[in-house]
Amino acid sequence: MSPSLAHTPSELAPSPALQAACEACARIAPVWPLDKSVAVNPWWHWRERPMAEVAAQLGVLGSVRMLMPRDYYRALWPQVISPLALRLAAEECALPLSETALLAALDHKEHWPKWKNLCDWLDEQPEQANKMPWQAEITQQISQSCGLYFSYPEHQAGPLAAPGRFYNFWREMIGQDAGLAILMAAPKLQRFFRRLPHSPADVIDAVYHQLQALTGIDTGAFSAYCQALLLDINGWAAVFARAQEDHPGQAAAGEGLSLSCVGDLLAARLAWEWALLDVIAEDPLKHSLRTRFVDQFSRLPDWQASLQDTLKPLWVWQRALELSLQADFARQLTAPAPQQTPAAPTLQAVFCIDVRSEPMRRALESVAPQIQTLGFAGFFGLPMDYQPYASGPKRPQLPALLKPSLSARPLLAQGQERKRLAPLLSLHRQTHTGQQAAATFGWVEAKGIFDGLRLLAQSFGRGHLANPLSRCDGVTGWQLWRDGAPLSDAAIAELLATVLRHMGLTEGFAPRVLLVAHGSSTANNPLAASLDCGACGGQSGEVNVRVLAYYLNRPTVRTALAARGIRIPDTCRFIACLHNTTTDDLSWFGSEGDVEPEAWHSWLKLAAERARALRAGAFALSATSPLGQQRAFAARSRDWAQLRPERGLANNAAFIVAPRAATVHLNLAGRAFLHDYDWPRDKDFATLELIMTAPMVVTQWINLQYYASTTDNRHYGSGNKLLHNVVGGNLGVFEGNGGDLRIGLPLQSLHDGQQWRHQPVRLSVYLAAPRAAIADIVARHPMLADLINQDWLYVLQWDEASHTIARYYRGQWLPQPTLTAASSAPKEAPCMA
Amino acid sequence: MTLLDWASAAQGLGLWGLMALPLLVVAAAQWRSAWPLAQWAGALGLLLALALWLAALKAPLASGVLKLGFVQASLLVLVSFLGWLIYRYGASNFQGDPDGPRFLRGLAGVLLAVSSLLLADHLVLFWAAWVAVSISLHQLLLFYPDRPRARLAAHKKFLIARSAEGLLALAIGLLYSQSGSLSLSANMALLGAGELSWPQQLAAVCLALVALLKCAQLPLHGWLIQVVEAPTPVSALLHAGVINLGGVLLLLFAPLLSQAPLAQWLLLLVAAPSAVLAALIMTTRISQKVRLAWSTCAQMGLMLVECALGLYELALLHLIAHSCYKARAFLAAGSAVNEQHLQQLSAALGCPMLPQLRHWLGATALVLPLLAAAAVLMAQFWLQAPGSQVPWLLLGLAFITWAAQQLAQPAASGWARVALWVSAAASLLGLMAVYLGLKTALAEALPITHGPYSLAADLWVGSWLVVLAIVSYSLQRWPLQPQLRRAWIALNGGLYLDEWMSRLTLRLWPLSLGGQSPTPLLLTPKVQS
Repeated sequence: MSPSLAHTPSELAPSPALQAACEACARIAPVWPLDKSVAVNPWWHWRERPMAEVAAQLGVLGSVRMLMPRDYYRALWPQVISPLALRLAAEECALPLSETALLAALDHKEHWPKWKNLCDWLDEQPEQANKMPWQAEITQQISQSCGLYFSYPEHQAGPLAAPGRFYNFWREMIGQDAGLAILMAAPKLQRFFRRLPHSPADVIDAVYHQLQALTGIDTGAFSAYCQALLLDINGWAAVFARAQEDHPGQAAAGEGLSLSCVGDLLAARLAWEWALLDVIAEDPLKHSLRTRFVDQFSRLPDWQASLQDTLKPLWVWQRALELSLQADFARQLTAPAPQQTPAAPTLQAVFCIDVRSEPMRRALESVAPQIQTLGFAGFFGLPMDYQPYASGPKRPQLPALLKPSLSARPLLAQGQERKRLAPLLSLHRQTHTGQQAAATFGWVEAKGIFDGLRLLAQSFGRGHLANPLSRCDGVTGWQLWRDGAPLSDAAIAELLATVLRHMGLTEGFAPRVLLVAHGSSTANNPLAASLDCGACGGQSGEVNVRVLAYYLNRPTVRTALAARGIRIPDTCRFIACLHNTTTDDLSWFGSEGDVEPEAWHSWLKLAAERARALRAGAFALSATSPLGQQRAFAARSRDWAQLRPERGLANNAAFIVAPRAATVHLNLAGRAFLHDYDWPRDKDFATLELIMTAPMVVTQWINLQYYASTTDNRHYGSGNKLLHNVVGGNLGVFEGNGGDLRIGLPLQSLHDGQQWRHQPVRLSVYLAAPRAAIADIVARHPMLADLINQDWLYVLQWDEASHTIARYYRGQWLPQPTLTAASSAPKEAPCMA
Repeated sequence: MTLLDWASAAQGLGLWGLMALPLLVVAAAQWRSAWPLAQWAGALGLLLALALWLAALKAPLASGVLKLGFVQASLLVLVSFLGWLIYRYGASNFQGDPDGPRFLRGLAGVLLAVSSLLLADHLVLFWAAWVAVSISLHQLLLFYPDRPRARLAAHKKFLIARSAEGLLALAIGLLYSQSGSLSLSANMALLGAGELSWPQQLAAVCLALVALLKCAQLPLHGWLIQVVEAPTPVSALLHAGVINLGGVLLLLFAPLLSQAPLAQWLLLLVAAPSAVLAALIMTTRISQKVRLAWSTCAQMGLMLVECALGLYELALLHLIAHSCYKARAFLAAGSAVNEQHLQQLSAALGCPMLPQLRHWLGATALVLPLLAAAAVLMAQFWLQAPGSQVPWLLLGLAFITWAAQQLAQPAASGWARVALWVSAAASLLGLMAVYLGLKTALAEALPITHGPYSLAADLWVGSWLVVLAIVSYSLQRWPLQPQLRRAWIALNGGLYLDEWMSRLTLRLWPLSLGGQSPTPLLLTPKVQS
């Protein structure tokens, strides 16, 4: 069987094989480059199917785990997962098993049917023991091709995301690769690859037809096979899925249906399987192998059904864990709130909805009664990118799903830009010289000794390279641009009015309103962006609050705002602040020369101290004094070897959309995203709709990213940070020397060496809004209906007045069961390894 | 006791103390405060090494089978410095990690073995320390023994290391057969000015082979590239420390090597192409740590070439400078994302990655007179005999590359352009002064006499460097030209040199390399195991 085509591909209509392949490719969720890394729900494109079904399918095809190991649940029994919760969960999952039977199910040796690709079958052969395994070598070969393709765009003669381009690059590479045949002891391999067709679609068609000749498979089975192959190179598939977003037009061009660039990757992987079919065909002893391989296709549906059955008890345990947690939240939310005497605030602080804001807001509110805090998406509603240098690159500062329509540019003092850039560019020239093949010898010899000094400095936390695009010092003002023209004050007022309305801040302005962005500060951390603000596209939100505060303080903008019905008193000033989530410092930017000490300056300091004191325990800091803790956290943030600078969004579990007054007395232990929302003021529920379709989806992505990285770190996590090896500058990381690109969170972000720091539970969204409004919005957005009805997310209505909570599920309102026998409040980290 | 007795007692105490410190850390690794202890021990070790270095500047120190000459003392300071910083790095890296004690034990073990190697004068002890370095490092390279690629790399390294040890033992035996002494210093002192006997020639060849094997020269380089499967500080330790042992060996046996043209030519024939190819391959890498590994391979090649050319002071300078450079580069490997930002920023602001021809010509016009002046001055006041011109070529290539980028910066006015030239010249002068100063100082301090100058050797190395410059420039200038693109892809494949070694290793020493472990990783989290 040679790769010369037995079947000419149908040029007119997309073949069934191509359709099946496209279907598999469309399931891949994108991943963003490291410097713009935002959380992604890896199962986003599976959302129209029930989670348990998807778990069974991916479980068979790639041993994907969407549940924790059995020991995990057993350790939580019966303290965290109460017997009552387990019983209710069993009822809900329609699994009529007793408590003892469910406990016994945790001891069963599970039968996990596994699909095997052709390479896996070959690797199981005894004579393969002294050779390189095919699976590892194939992954390595494709992974290296992908890396080379994306790392050196100057060696490619066109846009990288154009369909067909990667496949042909890969073909060129493998056709030239003399080493593979030596390494794998398969002399005819290279000849096979040299005769591969030029179009990825032809490869897909050819393999499909060959399989059909062998076993008569249908397109559904072929699509599953394609999914299994893509799971083998899961990380790179996600990179291609992201790349094709840059070329959506090309994927849709041509006749009806054509392959996206994920299809290129799939074609390369399929070509390898084709090559192995060829290897097998040469050896009569291995013909039985082929039979066993093709037999799998008919078994696939049974396997999936059987695995789904096997996993059922585990889903009960998972649901019981979530029920227990929801009961804790319900108990807190429905308890009668203590009497509050609403006083006019003298300080308002708007924070991001991020879970790390919750402890900080509590700390700040505890400092003085006249402080009010609010929660709002951290990009503060400005759909902009940031261009720090006049002709330099732009950086998106908004959720990854949106496209920036505005551009923010700083107004810098004369010569400021040069002063800031000169040392950076000089450093870059030196690094670059050291990396040039011809210069590296002499340069290291003459210059290397100075690296000893830099090594010493960096060991003591000095001289680390920071993100050069994040600097905002010396800025005298801002200018927003749209389509290459500066934005007028009227247009700005229009924009800001919308922002303030959605923020719920159109009246009752305190004399000082702090706009608090957040960002992390870490050294030598390739995954730094995953600790920054997800709503700002994985950046610090500093620029957004600076721009917003700048314009809200401008008299001309205020006049224009007043014309739109929002009157900001003259005594009111907006102040841009930054919450450093690594050190828990709250800093403010005293623009336009207000340096007079004011009461709130000391409040912020005190709040920071209290927040740090709360966090010190979790990091086993020995310092007990406020100053000692400040120094310890600061040192941690500058330590270039620190793999756990902060916990990020670990242990997130809930998203509460309600007025802060309703939650202000609660300790939510940093497990909840908080968005301010007051439904009586939301006339046509436009704000609710916005919250449910934007921030709620973002929080759901964050939640399932943490979930997936915890349950299956091999596919959806980036493994051990000690071994991280940055690929292509910012494409992603390898764990160690090579293998597939790793996506998602590293183990160090989820686990502290002793126990899991993230408890994988699906997000519970509590909406303080009328049921009819919620149901109406869900009905209008199929995406929301999928998430809710296929078990990817819980949506619950919280009626503050009647102290009740009800879950909206498959068009019905289900009263939330209360578990009376369980523990009290959600603890700091009630999870055990 | 007299003052002299006290001094020699203190010396002995210092020498043995240096070996005792890592031993203490090994013993205390399980203890709760082991990491702070290790950091203090590391700092103390560095102070001690500095003190001994000052003492050894005058005359070699000795105590029993230990002896500390200038080369060893300088290397000891370097190793102690790196050891101290890696202790500090590891302390944060392994915070809360149950693997911490295991790592600490391994690290201190390697440092102990390396210190012993540098201090040993007795050749049997030297050989034992040499083996100990390799074995203790093996433990660290297999820090995560269930990673298949780590195992493959460690197996490759194991085979190569054992061959090197065998050759080293043979060399020692040959030397002993001729001199009857097992003291390293005595053996070197006994080498007269006359011709070497054939066993001595053979011993030199063996030593050259050991150095080539230890420094991972092509085509036996694969293990070095593949051992980035161990934690970052292990890579730093390997690439900035242990890998240099080949060079150290040649420096210690320099009196022998400088009289053995056969061994010199062996080194030149393997290491010069190895260095050039590895440097080119380095520029086609996709991941940060693997790029650094290829860079090490190239730099080691150059160091060996310098030894073969008789430029021992330069080899020592190179060793020290490269260690600092590579240790920092590995430990800061996580900053790659920000470095990429700088590169994009630089390109967007009009500083192209590849300067234009006029910038290259300008840079050449700037650098050549500077180098020529320096060469004339050096020849006038310091050098007596004609020496190799290779260092000037290396320096020239580096300076021209840097200066071309400097001159390619956009300048607002004519004056700004003049300022660019002046600042480039001033920086180069400063850099050259430091470099030549260090080189001269090392040459003065080294007790090694140079062998005769060989024009053929210079031409051989020089032509490789010229090839390097031409290929490197062409690859960047015409990235889409079909032949160059093929060359680029072949370079990315490492010229397909390692595959034979992989296949051979697997055949000699089978190991199961199951690509996916049967139980998913998360059931036994790596962090916990």
